Amino acid sequence: MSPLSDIALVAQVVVFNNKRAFDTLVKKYQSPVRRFFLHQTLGDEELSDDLAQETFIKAYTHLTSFKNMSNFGTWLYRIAYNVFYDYIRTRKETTGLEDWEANVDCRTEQAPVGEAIDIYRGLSTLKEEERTCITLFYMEDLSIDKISGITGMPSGTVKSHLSRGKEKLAHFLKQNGYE
Amino acid sequence: MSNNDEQRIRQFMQAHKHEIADNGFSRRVMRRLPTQAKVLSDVLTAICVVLCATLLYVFDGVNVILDSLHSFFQYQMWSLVSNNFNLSTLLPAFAVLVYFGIHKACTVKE
Repeated sequence: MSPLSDIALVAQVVVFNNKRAFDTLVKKYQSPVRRFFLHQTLGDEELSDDLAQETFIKAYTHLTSFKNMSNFGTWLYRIAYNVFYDYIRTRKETTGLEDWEANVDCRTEQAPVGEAIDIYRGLSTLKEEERTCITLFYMEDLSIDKISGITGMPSGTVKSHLSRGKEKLAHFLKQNGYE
Repeated sequence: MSNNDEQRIRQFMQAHKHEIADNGFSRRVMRRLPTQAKVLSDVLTAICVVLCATLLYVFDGVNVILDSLHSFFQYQMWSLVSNNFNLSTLLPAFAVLVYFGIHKACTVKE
């Protein structure tokens, strides 16, 4: 589907409150948004779905602020990023993220998708910002400029996070026999 | 970091990239959507209706519409009568007469 049809669908939702148009947008973008959260939460499906739902609801309520400066997907990622970091902040205030990261091994052992274990273990070696940059860059094929727009970080900072993340991942892959 | 490392990371990440099936996710989202946006839409519709009604009043739109309809029906009646007169042509003419009758009744009440 082209960006033009995204804009047309957004217009349908804003002007005519056409829920079917929004449903089409949700169906189109649910997979990348949920995948984004799945990687940020290191495979916590339930939490990912909750955060993805919150993202779409925020997108719906703030759809009038979509100025078409970026494409709809990038705008949605920006909301998803903010939702995730709001969640991180509230979580850090209560339990601390360290506990969550320490649970990765337990969670991945119970995960039904065996081959996904390695990706989550690999991503768990990265800091949050590195993980965000790495997954947006390699999984969602976004450019550094777009990642910068989504995260609000300067391009130089994104490059630094990517570079450090790559080094850590390369080390992880070597240690785990990915030659 | 070598090119090999870069290549290895790219392959590793791409190998683990998968599409996630909807499995009722969009339905759950749609169910949780707030009604605030609907209220805004309704307000917008109401504003548009009021604006249109005001413009119609300011530019004497009702009379313009009535005049147009009047001319249209007069022309139709004239063409029906002048071209070929038969019983079936009386039906539209009857409808027109009913319209003017109702219109007249309304104006008499006022």
